[in-house]
Amino acid sequence: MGGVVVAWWGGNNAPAMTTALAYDERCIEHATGEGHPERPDRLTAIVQKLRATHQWDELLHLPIKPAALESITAVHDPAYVRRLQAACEMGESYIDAIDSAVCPRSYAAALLAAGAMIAATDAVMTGRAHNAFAPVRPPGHHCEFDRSMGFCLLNNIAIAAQHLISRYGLERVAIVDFDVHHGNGTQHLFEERSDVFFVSIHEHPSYLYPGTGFAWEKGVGDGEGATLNMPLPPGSGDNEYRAAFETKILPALEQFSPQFLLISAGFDAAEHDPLAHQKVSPHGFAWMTRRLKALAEKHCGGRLVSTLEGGYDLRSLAECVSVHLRELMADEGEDPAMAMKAGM
Amino acid sequence: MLVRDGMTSPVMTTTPDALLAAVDDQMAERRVHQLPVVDAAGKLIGIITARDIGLAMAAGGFEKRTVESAMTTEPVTLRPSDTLEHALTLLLRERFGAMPVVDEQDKVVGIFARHDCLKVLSNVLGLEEAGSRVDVEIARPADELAKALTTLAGHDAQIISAILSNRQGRGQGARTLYVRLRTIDPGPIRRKLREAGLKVVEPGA
Repeated sequence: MGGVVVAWWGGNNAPAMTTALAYDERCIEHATGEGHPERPDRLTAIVQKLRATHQWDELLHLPIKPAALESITAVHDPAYVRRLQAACEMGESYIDAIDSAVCPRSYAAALLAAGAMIAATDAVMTGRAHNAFAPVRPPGHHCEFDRSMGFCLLNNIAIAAQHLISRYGLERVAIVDFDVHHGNGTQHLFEERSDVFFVSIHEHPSYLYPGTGFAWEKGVGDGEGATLNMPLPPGSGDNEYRAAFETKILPALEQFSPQFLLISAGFDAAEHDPLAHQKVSPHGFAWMTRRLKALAEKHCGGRLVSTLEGGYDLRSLAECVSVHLRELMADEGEDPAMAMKAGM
Repeated sequence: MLVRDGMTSPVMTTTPDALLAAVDDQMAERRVHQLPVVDAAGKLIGIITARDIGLAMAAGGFEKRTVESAMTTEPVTLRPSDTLEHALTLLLRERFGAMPVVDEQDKVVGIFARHDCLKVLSNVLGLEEAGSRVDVEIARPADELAKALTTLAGHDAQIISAILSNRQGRGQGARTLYVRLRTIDPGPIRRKLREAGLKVVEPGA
């Protein structure tokens, strides 16, 4: 375990700015088969990178327990959860769609991925950490109430949002999903509610899976206005993302004034990602993270938990996760890029 | 595909003695722009459209007017066994909003509206199902179409739809094979298409 955290740009007296890492290496045991892009190496590459940058040693490493069944069934159909468990135990090769590969260890990994998000949100709510990142797999944001989709077995971020509401009585939780694919599962789980504001910025659904996330999807009934979709044309990069954040996403979040900010951090909008066609640089991901962190500082007392969704080019993924964490770990008002230079 | 595959059925109808004001409310509520008018036996005797009602409103005495006084009689109809091509061509040519679908006894069994055409198109494209899109340029159909389909045939379980465009734009240029695939990761299929010597469109490039 990482133990005490020291702000790595110097000084050991900054517990208020502790960033936690909710990681469990058993998530690597979710084997998806030869050639599958959502592969165990994704986590290995991230860990290697965080060790190489010494960020690993600066993070508060949280112990992870499998999520309790009641936390999961607060957003998922119990029959689906049983079906998922059975598919894994029976040695099925996938559930619901060929994309969603499973192995006998996948159910345990899925419970730990959701459990990592519970641990991360608990650490932040109890003040043990200022914010947290959960590099987990299987990812979650495509998973629907009763159906796996697009590599996602349990909707980790939805489970965390519901946990914040049920366990801590929060009334306004925001989820920002910058994975390059539309976060259909998360949207559908909360689109009829006003207590969870869901924002997804993604490549246009005409080109990319799953084919939803049009700008006119704005929520349903009581949740009308609490869903914001920002589809961007293929080929979009830092400038387009920046414009979308400045003109739509950040003002909408300001208006919602969340008590807690959750991020579905997929890094597949990165330039070399094999599943999509966007060109966001590590600098672009750093900028988005910085703005979201500033927003959390302003509205949520800094309470922010980010979780890994997609990102399939290992080098880009590791680099982007590293800069994402660098921003989360930065002291307020500090430029982490400068701090990094000074620290090295 | 036939009209019965794309029509809306059952369909709301009205009667000749119904008040236009009530029918106007019904149509607004159901968000439709026309209703077939039937007699007591359910036989088609006319169609009443939002436009007919608008004209009647402008003419005065609207509160007391009935459907019979404003409807179009002997509307053009379809049979469930008509082809979709037949229905689509008629809609386009006559600029109808919709056509009633009747059986051999002239009983109304459905309606085929522009909206139903769009549903057919959406269904043909496979837009209701989660998937990814791959576009393949087909310059020489005789050769490349065979290659593309042979490649795709190896992934038949993943194919939602595959449509070869009609002449591309204005000129004689390449045609496009639009494929929707039931996966978040079309990478392997894209690769195989390229390996078969085909030009796969790179979005955003």
